[in-house]
Amino acid sequence: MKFMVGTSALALVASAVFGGAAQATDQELVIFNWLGGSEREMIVKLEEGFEAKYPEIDVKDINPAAGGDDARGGIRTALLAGEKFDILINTWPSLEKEMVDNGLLQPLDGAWEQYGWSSALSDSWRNLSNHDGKTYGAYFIAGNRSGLWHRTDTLKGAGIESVPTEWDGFLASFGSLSESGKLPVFIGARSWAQTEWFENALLKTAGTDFAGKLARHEAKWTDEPVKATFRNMRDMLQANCCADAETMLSTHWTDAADAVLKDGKAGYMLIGTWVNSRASNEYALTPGDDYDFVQFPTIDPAHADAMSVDGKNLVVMENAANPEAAEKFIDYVLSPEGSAIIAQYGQATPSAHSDLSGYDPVVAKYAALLQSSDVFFVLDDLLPAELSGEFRVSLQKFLKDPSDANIDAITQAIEAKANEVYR
Amino acid sequence: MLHGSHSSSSRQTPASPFSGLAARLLSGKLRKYDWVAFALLAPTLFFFAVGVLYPLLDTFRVSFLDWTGLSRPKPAGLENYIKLFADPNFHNALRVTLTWTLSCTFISVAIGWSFALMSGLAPKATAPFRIVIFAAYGISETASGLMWLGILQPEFGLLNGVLRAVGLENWTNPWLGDPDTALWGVIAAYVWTQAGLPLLTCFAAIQAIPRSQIEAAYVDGATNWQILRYIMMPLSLPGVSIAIFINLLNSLKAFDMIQILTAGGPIRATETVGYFMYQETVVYFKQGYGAASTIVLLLAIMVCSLPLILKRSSEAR
Repeated sequence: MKFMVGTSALALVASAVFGGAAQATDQELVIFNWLGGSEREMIVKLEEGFEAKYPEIDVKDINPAAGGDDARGGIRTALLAGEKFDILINTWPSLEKEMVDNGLLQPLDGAWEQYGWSSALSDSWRNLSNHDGKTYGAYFIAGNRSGLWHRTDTLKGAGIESVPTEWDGFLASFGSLSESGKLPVFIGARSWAQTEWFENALLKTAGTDFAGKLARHEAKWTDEPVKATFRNMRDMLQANCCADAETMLSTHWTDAADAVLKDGKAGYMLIGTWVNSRASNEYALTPGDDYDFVQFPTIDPAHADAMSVDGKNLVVMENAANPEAAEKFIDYVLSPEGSAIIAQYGQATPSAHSDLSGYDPVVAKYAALLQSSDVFFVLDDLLPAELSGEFRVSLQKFLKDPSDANIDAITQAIEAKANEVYR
Repeated sequence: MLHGSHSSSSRQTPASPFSGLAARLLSGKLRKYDWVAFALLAPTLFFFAVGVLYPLLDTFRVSFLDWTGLSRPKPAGLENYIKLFADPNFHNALRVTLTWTLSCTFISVAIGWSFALMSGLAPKATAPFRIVIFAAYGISETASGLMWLGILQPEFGLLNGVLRAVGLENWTNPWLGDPDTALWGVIAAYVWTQAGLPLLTCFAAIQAIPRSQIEAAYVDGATNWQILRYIMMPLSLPGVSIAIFINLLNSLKAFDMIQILTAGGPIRATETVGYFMYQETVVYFKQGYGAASTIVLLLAIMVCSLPLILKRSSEAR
């Protein structure tokens, strides 16, 4: 990493912004925490619990000062600036792979055996952080990215007793919602939330195997399953699901959450489980009673149990000053005490040490689904950032013009970018 | 002494853009006490070298690398520049930048100059308006952007609300979500923040017109329009040229307003070269590619500003 430090103006600026690198000692554990809102509070609570259990170790929580909408920018800037920390919270497998390829992370296989983490995390979760036969991260948060969130009174008012689980029935329910004066679906497509719809439609159209091949670019973006997914999405647009394209392109997922869960002006939104915390804490709604979620409807029955998930793991930096303390922290986070803190914040953990009775009914529901479904990590996070950018813009173009000709044009554009990125 | 030597040197090299100390330094004919000038300039030169020159040279160096920031840098030769000029997204950014820069500059200066001319006819009565208009220039772009976000939002936005209230429902539009109107929405917001500066510089130029000249015109029977057209307009042109210069540079560098209102979207409709540079460097972390676009933007700024800088320094001599 030496060559990075001091080689660019960005590094100088970042160093200045960060106010100097953290000074790690033997008894100090430095954690790079880029999370915000209640997730950030949860990490701080975990750090406090860890310090209480290991009073000889001080935890220093440091945060990025740059990055904008995508925290990867802040993380990269910190690394480029020579910022030293022991643990990084990560949620992008593509970034993790890049860090492994450049020797920035320590393998955790030794600690895995020493602390017996296999009793907490199944092999499928361990494999998500496996690169070239070594394990580099331990997942401690898991989320459902296939949930269609809705207010129970909105659906009841439209005469919908239960959300249809099949695609055609789901599209048919838009009429009832429209007649009751509600917008059936709110897609806030200004930035990235449109990708949630494509990814879930892809999983339910072509399954997790194909999605995996697409993420690794072993399948092409111009392949038929991708185009079929776009056509299924077009069916949804033609069933008058949504506002006009311009409105979608000027709104965020937060606008969707306000419209669907807070104001009850729209029927469904598709977003990750972090909205659960927003609904219960910011909108003061009762999980399970005032609002709920159902899984994205089935398109091809062969892929009915496909589920998009996300997760956050803890990785230990290669230049960590205190790797032993880092491993102890991971062990604490996966323990029953750590899992209980995570549950308090309305998040599910893949740790088997978690007590499902500690969850609210919504979290308990998706925590159970995590065990029973054919899970696939959210596609947008698997893609390199540059390809992700093209993917997001292409989906915006699709919302504006869902014609066959445009589907051909945008799939070719994503494929061209993929060829450039994976060369 | 310095003043005297400045004049002397100017006479010796009238065609050179450099004069005085700079001319003597370049010609190797330094005088005995020139070290005083260098000593006084030293702190500025030091901070300029560390804060501007070094980052600039390093950015130029990085523009010839293939580097993600995490990987070991690999030499890329001219590849980043070749790819840049073949990149349709960069072509789009150039088109957007051209529209953005010319529109922001022209509209801001036109508004500012017009208000300055009108104020010139009644300076005391229009003082509160000038203060209000100039105040917008002092508000941070982020704060202004958030305010304009409220104005241009599709459902609860002030603009659409007013249109609905006056029965023009059909004219309502998701202004920032429509690729055809988004750029103009951001331009409107940016002009609102920038029009105060041309007002100030043009009004200062008008105030510098000798009062006797305007009074003589009145005595000769000139109308307000004639005074405006034949005295104030031509004599306020130095203020206009300064306003054009500053607004042009400001709009080429603009970032905050675009980030707040549209983040370069929808569908890259508001992605200027400056925003493109940010995306490539900070979001995608393509350090070499982003640096190449930075160098191109820098050259564009230099091309725009150099003639005026040379003209101003020539006038100053």
